[in-house]
Amino acid sequence: MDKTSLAAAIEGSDTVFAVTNFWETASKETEVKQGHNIAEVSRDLNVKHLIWSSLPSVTALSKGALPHVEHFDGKAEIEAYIRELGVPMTSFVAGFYMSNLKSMMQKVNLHRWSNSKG
Amino acid sequence: MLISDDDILHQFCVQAAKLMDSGFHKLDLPIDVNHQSDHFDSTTATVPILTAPSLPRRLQVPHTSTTTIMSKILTVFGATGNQGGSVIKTVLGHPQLSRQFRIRAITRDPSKSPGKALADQGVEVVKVCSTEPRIAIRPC
Repeated sequence: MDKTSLAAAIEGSDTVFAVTNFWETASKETEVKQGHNIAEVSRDLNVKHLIWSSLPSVTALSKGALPHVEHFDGKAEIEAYIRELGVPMTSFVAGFYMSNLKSMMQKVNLHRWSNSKG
Repeated sequence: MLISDDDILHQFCVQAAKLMDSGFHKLDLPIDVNHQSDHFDSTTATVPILTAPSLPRRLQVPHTSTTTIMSKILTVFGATGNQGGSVIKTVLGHPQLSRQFRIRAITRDPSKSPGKALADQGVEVVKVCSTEPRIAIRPC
């Protein structure tokens, strides 16, 4: 990664609020790398408090039954890594977004899904 | 009553500030912002969870005095998104937090309108990106 620009961003910070966007790349690997980079630079620059926008591991919670909820699992991996590095951390876990009610939770036309002639 | 994402982030920021003010040591683990607030409606479905800092006590941040007012930099990633944007909005609009923290907003393109809007509010806007998309914080 461009550690120079990241270091310039974090240099001198007392507190860092960090959130990554899984959906931008839909790649857990990329998201985890981004999170690790933030964690490492925060440690190197002695950030006093890293507030990490986290999510729990669905793989762990389901004991492996649901191993593909990658937009949750990646954030859980990053949280574990921040702990491992010893950066003072607060983990913020958002609930279901209220804005989702206006998008994901809309009534759908069942015919559209069950009958192509709908 | 519906609580918006902004409200939740607001509650969170207030709690985070209390956490920092207390030097961590006064808080029981884990804490839940829902039970820390006087005006948060606990009957709603969405409850943010605030877990405790993970460090051994000897490494935790000591209590800070009022001499640190305005000297702390709060760096916010995702500054032009919902979460980061809400954090910034809350801190800027909070009588205590706005005095305590100077905000540094991280964005990929400070020249775009969301970055400009932050700069107009007196927020320091810093570009972070990489030409290597696979390992970037965000690709350019």
